[in-house]
Order: sequence, then C-alpha cells, then structure tokens
Amino acid sequence: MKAIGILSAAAILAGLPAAAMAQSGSLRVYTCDTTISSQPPLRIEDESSLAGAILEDPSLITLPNGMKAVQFSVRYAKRLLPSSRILKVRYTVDWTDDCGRRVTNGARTVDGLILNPGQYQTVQSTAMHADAARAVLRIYVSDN
Amino acid sequence: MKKLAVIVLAATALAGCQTIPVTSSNPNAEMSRTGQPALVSFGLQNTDFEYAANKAVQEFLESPFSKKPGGGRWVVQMGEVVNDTTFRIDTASMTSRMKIAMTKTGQFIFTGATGRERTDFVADSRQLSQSKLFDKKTVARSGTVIAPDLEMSGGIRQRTVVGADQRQQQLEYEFDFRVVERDTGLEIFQSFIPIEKLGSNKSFAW
Repeated sequence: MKAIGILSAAAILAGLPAAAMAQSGSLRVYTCDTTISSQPPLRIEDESSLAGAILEDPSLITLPNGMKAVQFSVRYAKRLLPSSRILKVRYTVDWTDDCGRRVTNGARTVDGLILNPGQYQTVQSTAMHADAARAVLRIYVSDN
Repeated sequence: MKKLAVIVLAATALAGCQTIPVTSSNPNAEMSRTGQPALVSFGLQNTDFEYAANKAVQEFLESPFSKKPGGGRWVVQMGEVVNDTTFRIDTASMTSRMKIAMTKTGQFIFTGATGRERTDFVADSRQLSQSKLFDKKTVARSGTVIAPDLEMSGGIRQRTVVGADQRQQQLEYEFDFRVVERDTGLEIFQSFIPIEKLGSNKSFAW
C-alpha cells in the first residue's frame, strides 16, 4: 500500500494519472490537481465523549460493493448514571476523495441519535459517492 | 398569604395553557435557513424530506447491488409513490430529492421515457420524422431509447398516537422505498426511514 502511495505521488508529480487499489481489489485511477492529502483516512472531532456520549471504535470501512462507510459506537457514560438525562447526539461525516477534494453529495445533512441512560448504539454512515475515500467525523451532544 | 396563593394558582393555570412545542426525531428539524429560529410543525417540512431522501439514498448505496454488474449506470424509472398521510403532499418533494442525490452518486440515471414521470417528449419526438417541416437528420431515430433496468417506488405513511391523558400526540411518519430489478423481479434495495414528531394534542396536525 505504501509502495502504491509513493508510486501515486510520483505519477502525479509527473502529471500522470495515479492508481489506487481499493479494498475490494478493483483498480481505481484518478488524477489529482493538487498534491495528495497527507491526512489520515479517518479524522475525528469528538466533542461528545466529554459531554457523556462516549465515542467508541470509530473506523473507516469498505463495503462489499466498494463504497466507503464510517462505523462507530456511542455509549452512555457511566459517570452520568443514575441520571435520567437523555442525550441528543449529533454527527456529520464529511467526505473527500484521495486528492482531498470534497464530496458534496449529502454533505449538508446532520445525522443523530438519542441516547437513553445506560444505552449503547452502533452507527454506520455511508458515503454518497464512489470516489469518497477519506472522512472527517464530527460528533457532539446537542443542548436543546 | 392569600395574595401568594392567588399568584401561585394563576401561574399554575397559565402553565397549563402553555403549548408544548413540537419536537422532531429529525436531527435537522431545528436548522433554519432564515436566520430566525426554525419552526417545527407536525406536518412534513423541507428538512424532513431532505433528511429522509439522503438517508434513503445512503441505504440504497449500502446494498451490494448499488453498483451495476459489468459497470455503467443503472437506468431507473420512477414508479408509484403513495401518499398515505392525512396531508396533501406532493410526493415529488421526496422523490426529486432522492433522484438528485442518486444521480449525483454517478451510479444511477433516471429515464423520462417510461414510468410515472414519463414525458410525452420522447414519443412525440419520433412523430416529427413524419413531418415535412423538420430536417430528417435532426429528428430522433427509432430504436435509440434506453430501457430502464430498475423501478423505484414507495410510500409515505403516517400514524397518530395520542397519550392516555389526551395532552400529547405523536405523529409517526414512515418513508418506505424500494427498487425492483427488471430482469429478475428482485427487490435489490430497500430503505425505511421513520420520523416522529411529538407535541401538544391541542395543536392540530392538519
């Protein structure tokens, strides 16, 4: 994978299309008009854990059809128990392609879940474009 | 003491008259584009259609069949979308958003030649070749229309639940969509998006 990355960077520098191997095994060719993003594939901005909705095991996966998805779990913090406070957890997943270009389809939607005391929930958020490769998960607890 | 009792009684009575604001399970319900606090009503709103459409398309894309075998785009025809709610809503508020999101994925394209959203344009264009008015090189040829691979159809349903004390009501909406493949007849994608709205039973939902 590292070798492919180096080859891709070299190819882009040479003005040629780069190749990336998806987990599904299919070869994807893309051309970057900017340098390849040096960010990790999944970035997380977690404001929910401190507020009592603990983010667990966030991961970027490739579905059998080649689409990318972010999976994570949210657990009601034990330190809040025996509270009866219901937490409104909100999250957004912003997707970019391998070049760092934003994927705008479905980008404006905030998603969410309700976390009752002691509850644990697992979420999957799927990218809405086949080019989506990198994700930023922003998660927070809404006050109202 | 008597005065205090009157004040407390009046405050309690007024609190009883206070209407409970409508709350929605749609996480985008309170998002406003006006710069003013958003209005959340029992009825279906733009934010509900937007949220449900995006979620539905996301669920389609999770299907192992979302990519057409052999490559290319699925050609989709719009089927019937039933409005089974107490509201007079144009189901295109939902389907147009779904069509936009699906087309933007690059994996689907919708046809205007067949289905519920069939336009006369395609068939009428074939008649033009019989007219002497038109340049024959510019009229549509026969045998060029692409047949749909899939049909998307669905329904929007509603249930009303009233609390035992008659103070609160909850409206439960279901956005239920499915896609059927032409050759096999198999339902290859499904999506089911619920939205619930809770508020005072004194506010009329319709």
